[in-house]
Amino acid sequence: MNCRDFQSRLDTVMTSDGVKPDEETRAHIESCETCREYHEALIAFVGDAGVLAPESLTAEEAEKLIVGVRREIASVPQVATETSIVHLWHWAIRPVAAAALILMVALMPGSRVTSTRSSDQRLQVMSMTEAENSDVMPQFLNGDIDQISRLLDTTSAMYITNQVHPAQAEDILDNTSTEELEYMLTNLSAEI
Amino acid sequence: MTDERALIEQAATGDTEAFTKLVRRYQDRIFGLVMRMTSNRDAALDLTQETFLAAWQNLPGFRQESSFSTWLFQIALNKTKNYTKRASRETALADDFDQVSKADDPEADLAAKTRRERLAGAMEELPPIQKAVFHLRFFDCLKFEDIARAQKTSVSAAKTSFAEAVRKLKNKLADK
Repeated sequence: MNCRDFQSRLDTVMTSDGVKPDEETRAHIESCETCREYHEALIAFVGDAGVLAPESLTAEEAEKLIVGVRREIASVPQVATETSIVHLWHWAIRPVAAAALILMVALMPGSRVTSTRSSDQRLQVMSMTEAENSDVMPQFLNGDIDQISRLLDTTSAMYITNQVHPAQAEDILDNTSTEELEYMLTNLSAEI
Repeated sequence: MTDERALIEQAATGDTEAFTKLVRRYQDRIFGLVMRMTSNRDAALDLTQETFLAAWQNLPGFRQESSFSTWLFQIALNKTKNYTKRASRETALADDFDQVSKADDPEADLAAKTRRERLAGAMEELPPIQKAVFHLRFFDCLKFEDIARAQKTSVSAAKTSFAEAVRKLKNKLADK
């Protein structure tokens, strides 16, 4: 490990509470003047950065917030135990994910499909059976919420890019809220 | 079972008193993050309330795989992201004009500020992701794993964002 690595480590153990290096880094600091200076500069930075301390609620704002939240939750029901993303996964994301998976496979180097607009590819995109029989699907089906969330982004990006609005896909994704995207995916999955 | 865990479980069954205790416990941290991201006190107050409302609604589905604070931060960041998107759409034309105006003489502005004011200004200029990562790590002392979860990104990307934010802030301090 070189000085640059130790300095990166120091960066990642710095918080407003100070710089707390592990034993290995501390030992290196004691024997390396460059890293000792870096460490001291970081400690100074922690002091300076105090000015960036987050703003707090005033007592009045805090109470107002509590009253507001209590008023709202009194009239808003809690949703069912099954999270919306899991629910969405079952009836919307899964088929689109399958389609995107086939698309990814089709676009891999060596694939017979070369054009992103070919009719062959469109047929492959629609092939749910093939997707569900693939060895790759179970990894996604057993994925956690974070994996599924990432998949949602990838899937919707690929789907929209290749099937809906190729020229404006990025713009759509940038300007589409999660709720709108979920609605869009629901409708798209119904078409598959 | 910890006190917080018990509160979460009670709140998940509809106990508004338990949820109120959770709100009191976290409202300052959520407000601090949202205020940092929006620089707009009224919007930050609204978004903080919306965050807790969304947390209340979805609490029965919270499986405690991440910490409650990380989950709240994740909701707050999503709310803030949607807010800034809406705000930027609504003021797109005005912003274009303002940015040109501000860019005319940024150095003169900075020269007039003190060292600490420069740092605060530099913080404002950080891209939203770096700003959020810096805030969550530096002030909330979140682990990079939790930051990555809240930001829906990888640990290495979170570390890179943090390092980049620190580098920019340090550079601004060194810029006499």
